[in-house]
Amino acid sequence: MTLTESAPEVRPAAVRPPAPARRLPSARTALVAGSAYLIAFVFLFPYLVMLLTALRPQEELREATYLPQTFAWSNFANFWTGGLAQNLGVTLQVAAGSTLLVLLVALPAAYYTARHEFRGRTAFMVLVLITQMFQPTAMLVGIYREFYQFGLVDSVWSLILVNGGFNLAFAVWILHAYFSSIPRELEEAAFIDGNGRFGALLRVTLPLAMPGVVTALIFTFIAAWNEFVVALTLTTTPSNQPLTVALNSFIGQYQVDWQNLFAGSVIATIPVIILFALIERKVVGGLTAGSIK
Amino acid sequence: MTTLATTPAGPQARARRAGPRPRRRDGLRPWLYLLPAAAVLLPLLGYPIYMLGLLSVFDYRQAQVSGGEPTTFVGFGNYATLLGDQRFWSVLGQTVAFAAALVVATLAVGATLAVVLSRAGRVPRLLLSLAAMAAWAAPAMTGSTVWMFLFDADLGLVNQVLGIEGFNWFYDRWVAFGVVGATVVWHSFPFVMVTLYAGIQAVPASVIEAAALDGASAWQSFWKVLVPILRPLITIVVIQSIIWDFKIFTQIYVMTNGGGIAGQNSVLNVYAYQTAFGSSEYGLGSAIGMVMTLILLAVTLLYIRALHRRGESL
Repeated sequence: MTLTESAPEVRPAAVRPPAPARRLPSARTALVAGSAYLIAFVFLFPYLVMLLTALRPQEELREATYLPQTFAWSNFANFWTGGLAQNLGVTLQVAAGSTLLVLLVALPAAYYTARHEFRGRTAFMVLVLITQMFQPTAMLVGIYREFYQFGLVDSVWSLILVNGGFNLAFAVWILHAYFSSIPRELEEAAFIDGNGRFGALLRVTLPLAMPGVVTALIFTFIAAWNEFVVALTLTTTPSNQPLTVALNSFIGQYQVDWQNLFAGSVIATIPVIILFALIERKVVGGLTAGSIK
Repeated sequence: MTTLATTPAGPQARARRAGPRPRRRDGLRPWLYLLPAAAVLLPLLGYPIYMLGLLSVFDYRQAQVSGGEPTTFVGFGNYATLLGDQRFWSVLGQTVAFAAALVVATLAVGATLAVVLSRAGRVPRLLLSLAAMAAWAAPAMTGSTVWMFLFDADLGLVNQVLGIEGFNWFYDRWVAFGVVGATVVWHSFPFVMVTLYAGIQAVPASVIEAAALDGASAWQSFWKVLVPILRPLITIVVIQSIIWDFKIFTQIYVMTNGGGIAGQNSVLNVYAYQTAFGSSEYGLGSAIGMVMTLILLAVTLLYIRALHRRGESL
């Protein structure tokens, strides 16, 4: 914008095409900007409340001051001493484990379906798409029964497997889209240059598909980190529960331990927001299965 | 943001022209690559569904689990029980109505904000995107607890601001649904907003300008120009929202303490969970789960058809 405005001083005005008549009246612009600020504030407000409550001492909960009068960092200290650190560890194991599982399994499938035409390819992709819509909640009895049979109830492994399984579809789809977007000529050139098939894949295709790989990994990580109902059903020992389930136990029938709940919630929320900020733009394309054209 | 619209699609089209090379003999080679995925999907999705279907035709309760009573085959007995149960129908109706309201609300909020986003300046746009992202990424669990706190009868900010003492927002069925619904919309509007925003960005500015020159108001150009152009995208967003809002569990379970007073805020998922794991009626719970799965499958098939219509190659 500034360029267009300063340009006439440098060049003869006649040469410049007339500025596009697209400028909105300033009152409307201000209104739009104002409402955008207001809406953003309203949507961020719950997080502000979460953070401030986590920093309030117990006695101050009933007083309606905007900022805590004394900052109680002890609520965060309680997180580490009160055993929740162990639950954070479980969450990390589940998220990392299922991400690794998805990576190992989705990469070959996505690569092959993107590169080769074969009988059953469409069927496979449709099947993957259907599983993306499946949800563990409706199938809980079946899932519980299965892990019960294999003696994996109340273990980190069951959570890793379930989260990996239910997030596989999205990873396959987004990786498939990325692999399809890389011209096969590039890979073939590398192959002819003396790299093996695998070498060409490793040195040329995979680096080019990296943004897709990172997106799929972070998305899986976040989904597994946030998962609630499967963990609620499959884990019973408090120290085996991931953070989301452990935090739920702060909510009693008659009383809620708000400060400690929110201190834990802040810790459970911040990492995923940061991770999500890295991939947000790419996720949308994957969620609509490449439907934005 | 425009990269969003073109990243997967643009180069993909180029690759398609080159086309995957047709292979003369497929042999077993494809399955070498697909086997790991199949090895995860089958036991983790296929087997639980099989188990769910199997248990749903058995009388399977706590007594059978502990081995006190033999497991008996009851055919469609559990389904018959469900269909004859007034409560099942009321929960089903509630689920559909709640999901429908959520889809409408999410779409209204998401679409409005997508338009605001496309007109706002750099700084407000960034801030709004950040707010949306924070709501999108957060665990449903922690989001639910904050909203619960905001509407808490004694400590909640909402009661303080409105100046009402001790009003319990979770006491009345529909008020409670309203609060939970607001939380769900807060979680799910960002997807709609960001997707539609990307769609709007892809519409050439000249089209909107032409409409404005012809004297269309902003309202008219939204309904008469943008919506028809974006219709395929909107279809997909609507179906995705239906699927998401139908699956709601965490917000209701956490905010209404497992389904509200006497289970008045139950939706199908919560009802299935409570039947199976609350009352140990595993067979009956499985039957509810099967009903839920079948409904979702039907919506998914609609989704695939909508994708197919867009010329999406599967």
